[in-house]
Amino acid sequence: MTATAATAFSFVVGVPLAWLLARAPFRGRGLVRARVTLPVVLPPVVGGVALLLAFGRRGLVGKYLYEWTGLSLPFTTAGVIVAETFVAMPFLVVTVEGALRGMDRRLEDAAATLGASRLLVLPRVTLPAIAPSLVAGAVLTWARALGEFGATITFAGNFPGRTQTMPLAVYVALETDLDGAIALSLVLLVVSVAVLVLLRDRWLGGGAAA
Amino acid sequence: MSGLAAHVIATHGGFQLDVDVEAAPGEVLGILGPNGAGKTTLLRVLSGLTPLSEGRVELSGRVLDDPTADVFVPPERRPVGVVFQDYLLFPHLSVLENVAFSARARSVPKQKARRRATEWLDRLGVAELAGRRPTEPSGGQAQRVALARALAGDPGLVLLDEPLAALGAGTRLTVRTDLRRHLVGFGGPALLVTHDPIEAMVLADRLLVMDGGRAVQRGTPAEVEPDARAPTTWPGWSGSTSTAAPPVTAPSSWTAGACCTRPTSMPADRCSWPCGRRRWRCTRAGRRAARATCGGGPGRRPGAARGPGARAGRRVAIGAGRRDPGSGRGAGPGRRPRRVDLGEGPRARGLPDGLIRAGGYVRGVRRVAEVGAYGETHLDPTDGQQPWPRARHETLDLGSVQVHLGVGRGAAVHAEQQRTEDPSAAATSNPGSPIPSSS
Repeated sequence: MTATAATAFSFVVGVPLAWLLARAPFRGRGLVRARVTLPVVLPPVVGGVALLLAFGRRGLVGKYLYEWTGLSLPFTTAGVIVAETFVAMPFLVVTVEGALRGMDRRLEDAAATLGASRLLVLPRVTLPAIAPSLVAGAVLTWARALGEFGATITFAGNFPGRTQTMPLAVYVALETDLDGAIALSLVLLVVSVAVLVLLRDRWLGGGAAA
Repeated sequence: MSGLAAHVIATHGGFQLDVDVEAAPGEVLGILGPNGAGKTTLLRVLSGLTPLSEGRVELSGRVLDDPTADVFVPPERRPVGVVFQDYLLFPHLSVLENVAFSARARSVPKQKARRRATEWLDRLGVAELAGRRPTEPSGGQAQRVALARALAGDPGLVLLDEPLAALGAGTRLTVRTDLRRHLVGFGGPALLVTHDPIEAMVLADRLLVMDGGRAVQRGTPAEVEPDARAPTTWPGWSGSTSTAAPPVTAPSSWTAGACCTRPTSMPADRCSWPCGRRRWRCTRAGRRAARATCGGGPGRRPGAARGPGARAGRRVAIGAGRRDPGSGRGAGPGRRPRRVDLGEGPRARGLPDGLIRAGGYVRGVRRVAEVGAYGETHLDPTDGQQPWPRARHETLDLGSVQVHLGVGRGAAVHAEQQRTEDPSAAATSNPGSPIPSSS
């Protein structure tokens, strides 16, 4: 599933990015943050167009990528992942950055006085401390990636078996096979509800405290 | 030099800390001062969390931080154990894993680290908590877990930041006694930061009083606590066996602490408490009253305040500190207090170490014994920036003796014998100075 890959990709890129945004004081941090969160407000189709312009075979970056490596992202499965990551990663970055800022940094100090180097503090103290936010961010990212439509269809097209995602399939099915569309929609509905149930303690305030 | 020797100069956001700290192995140095005095920054510097800007930190002959020599040992490689203010136990680890953390961080195999951690929990009497989450134990238990965690790293220096601040009044007393015991058992130098003079008095061997990032007084608790600068009246305490701390009236003649420019007649070391720009608060120069201060400041003689209450028979003056008890001027003929030296350690059964170490002696007035007596602390709440709590009292019920600890303006330290036979018990602990059997 491309959504899972996109989530994994977001995780690998997004968590360090969130850490940078939360901790490292560097110039242009506001700019980077704006760039990261841009896809949240950008209409996905516009995002797709932007991706196409950037990574298309004649795009800003894609031109060199194609010339040097022969790789071309648009209209491939990898392109889907890139598109989904582009749109969904901000959810992870924003959530994790907030958690990093909110956590008690003195816990890291405490770990340091107990002999843990900074490399050890991150996996043993920092990440566990923000684990709920990591999970929440990942689930949100995954759900957003799963439901992604506009950027995917613009950037990666809609080839069954290669770049066709669930929402794209629903869209196609709606025109030809109503029952299939309803079935697929139900699957997505169930997934969405499952996500909400998973996150209910965090954001909906219901249920017992986790 | 073994132990800790540090000359600390550090800036922390416009605040400058400049203080010398020394602590011998086995010694508990209390760092006392109002909020914002730089106590916590000092601990951060010593643990390596904040680097020095100038100066030097040396522990057992090893230089830990010296900017001029370009030496800086990062916190994770310093042999320093820290008990943080609210313990900062890792919430995602069990109590056992918390204590095993330092060993794990030093790549000790898991089983061995756990075994050692279990030993530490056992030693501190909280072994039964091992499998729990650190959010579950009560404050007193969490404090012991935090101490176990700090000690498990086998540190050469232990730093405690307000170790009792997070505890409720009920548990504080027992935890305090325990803490003292564990600190004595530790063997290395220990620094204890507190803004609570009682805590400092009971737990520390020596005190360093800080204010505004500087050391303003040093010495044993008895020395640092003001030398009976002001008389204290404690209405109705005579003969009382009530467990409730009697109300305390602030002395009306509190002159010693008048804030003034230092008069030339006062030795510098008596005028050590800064209370404003170029203004100092002086303690009295000698045994006599505080009118020596500040070139005829608003001084009434302490005795004047003490008299009436005592004559009324309801108030007994507790001239604090080292005033010769025999001269217990306000106590009247029938109840002249005498001094009973409790001595040290086991001889003073029933009294916590700390109290005796706080320099106290017992005076018997009828069935009442008074242990030590301290005047108010250094800051006058009316013009101090961060006043320490006004007279605050705690009662320790030790079975045969009830001890009132009080610190703050107009407070004193007392022990009251509960039963009539107890004075003789106390007296036999030091036959040389019996409590008068006027009861």
